[in-house]
Amino acid sequence: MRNQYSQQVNENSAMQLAHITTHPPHLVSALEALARRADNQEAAQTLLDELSGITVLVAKKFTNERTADGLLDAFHLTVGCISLGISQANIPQDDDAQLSFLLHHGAEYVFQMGFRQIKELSALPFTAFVSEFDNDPFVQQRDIKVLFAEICRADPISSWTGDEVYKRELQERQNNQKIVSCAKWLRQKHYAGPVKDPDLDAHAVIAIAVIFAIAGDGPIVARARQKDLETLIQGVRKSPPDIDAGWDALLKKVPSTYHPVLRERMNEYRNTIVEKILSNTGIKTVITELQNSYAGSEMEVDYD
Amino acid sequence: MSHPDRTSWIYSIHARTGMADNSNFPAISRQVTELVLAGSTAHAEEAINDTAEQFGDLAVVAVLNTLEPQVAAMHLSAFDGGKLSLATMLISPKAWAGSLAFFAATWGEDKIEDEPEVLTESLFAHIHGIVFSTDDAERRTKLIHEALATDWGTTAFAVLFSTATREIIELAHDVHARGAHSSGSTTSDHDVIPLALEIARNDSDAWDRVLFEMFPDWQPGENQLKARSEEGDDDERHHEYALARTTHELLLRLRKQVPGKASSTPKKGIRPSLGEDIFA
Repeated sequence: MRNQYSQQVNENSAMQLAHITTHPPHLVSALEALARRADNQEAAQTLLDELSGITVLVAKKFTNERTADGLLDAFHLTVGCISLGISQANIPQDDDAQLSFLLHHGAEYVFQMGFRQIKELSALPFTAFVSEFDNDPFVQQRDIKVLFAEICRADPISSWTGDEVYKRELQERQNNQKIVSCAKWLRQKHYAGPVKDPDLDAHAVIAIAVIFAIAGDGPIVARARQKDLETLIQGVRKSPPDIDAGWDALLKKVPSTYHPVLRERMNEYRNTIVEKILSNTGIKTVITELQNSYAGSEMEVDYD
Repeated sequence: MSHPDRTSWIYSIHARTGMADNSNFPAISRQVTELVLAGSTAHAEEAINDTAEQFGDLAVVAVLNTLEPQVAAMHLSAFDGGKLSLATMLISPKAWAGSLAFFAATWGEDKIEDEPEVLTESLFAHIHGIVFSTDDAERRTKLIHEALATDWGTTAFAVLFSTATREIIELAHDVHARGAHSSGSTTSDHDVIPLALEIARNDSDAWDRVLFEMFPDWQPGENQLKARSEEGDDDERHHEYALARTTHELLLRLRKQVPGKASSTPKKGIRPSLGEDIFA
């Protein structure tokens, strides 16, 4: 047993360790820098007043200012939100510079910056699926609260990764934003007039447009009926089209900002669904796959 | 005079309009405050009654909301049990919860030492009077919820329940085993049991908070709740028991939670405060 265990430990230590850097919340590092400064009494007192004031406001708005638990929770949120504000400011990554930044602007202002970052993040789409509920003020407030609690909860005595989480989440949502605006543009240019539907499955819209473009230079298709897809499949099977020419024609019509999104999709489809459309697979099977994995809710199933 | 039935719709309106606008009725608020601070609660009550006659009950709710919590506490503490006040029926749950923090303000340490029963009795009369002042179940639930969403409110209820620790333990077991709605009768029907049941039935989080306040060492599933025996059981402090805090201990805890004046008034900084704008 013991041997087995030590062997395992050896194996583990030989393994490449993931590169993980841990750091305390930025506010804590800045306060430590303050402790090292001479003549820090006045600055410390001002910060203390500001931080406790912010904590009470956070408790009133998000937790409970009437219990010790609520105040502690608000304190953690305050530490994290100020740390986020510091981490995203355009200043050198060193404790002293960050402290100067904090003292110069004041804790309230830095908190506000952090909170605005949360709000901006929350305004970006969480998925590439837009629904009319996204505009509901109640839902928007709830989303802000959820993100605030998820990213800004920092315990001063342990490490904090909220800034990393923020960066990752921001990148992901910006990516979703690109996909959504590309899909919205395609809907506007739909051959039968702009598609008006509060719900939008952006991936599906793009999938439909890219798939219809294989047939050659034609109008933009952002929404399709099952019958249209069947016609398309039968058509391209009868006379194999020049796929790249069709896609180039689509790209020419679309503003260049959306090209990366479309190209990514074209590369993905070339050897998967497009190959299937051109093969001898039964039309029903292909349609089912299109419906389940590509066109989704942007495809109208009913014949008329 | 107000009628108990009226309060329910007043509250539903009140809930919809949000907290009353602070700018309403500032003169009446000032007048009531001055009368209360001058020790003339009867006249203050008269002013409140006049307000109700003239502007309606909603105006009273607004006035009570703008009173400083310590003033509201002083006024309410003059009306318990026997005397019924319009304020007792109309104060908003949140304002009441805030005022509860000041209930123990006048308790000296000697008084806590010498006559804990008197203090407990007055606290019970107050809480019971407010919570059961109307037949409105929704209002009762809100009052309990708001009071027990504060640390001091939780302690205040624990004080009351500590006068019947054994019954509370019995009830806690019952609630745990059979659910709050099928529990109810204990072997002795102590005065605080209806209040405890009201909590257990309507707000299980609040019920847990009070139990933890009474039995700070309680680890559900790990140890048993236990009342302190009369002989004093310091030698038999077993790990398997979570001993109850005594009424005396809880009274002291409640007294300590009375908010004091801020020790240092925040200096006028170089920067004006952003206030709520930090969320803008």
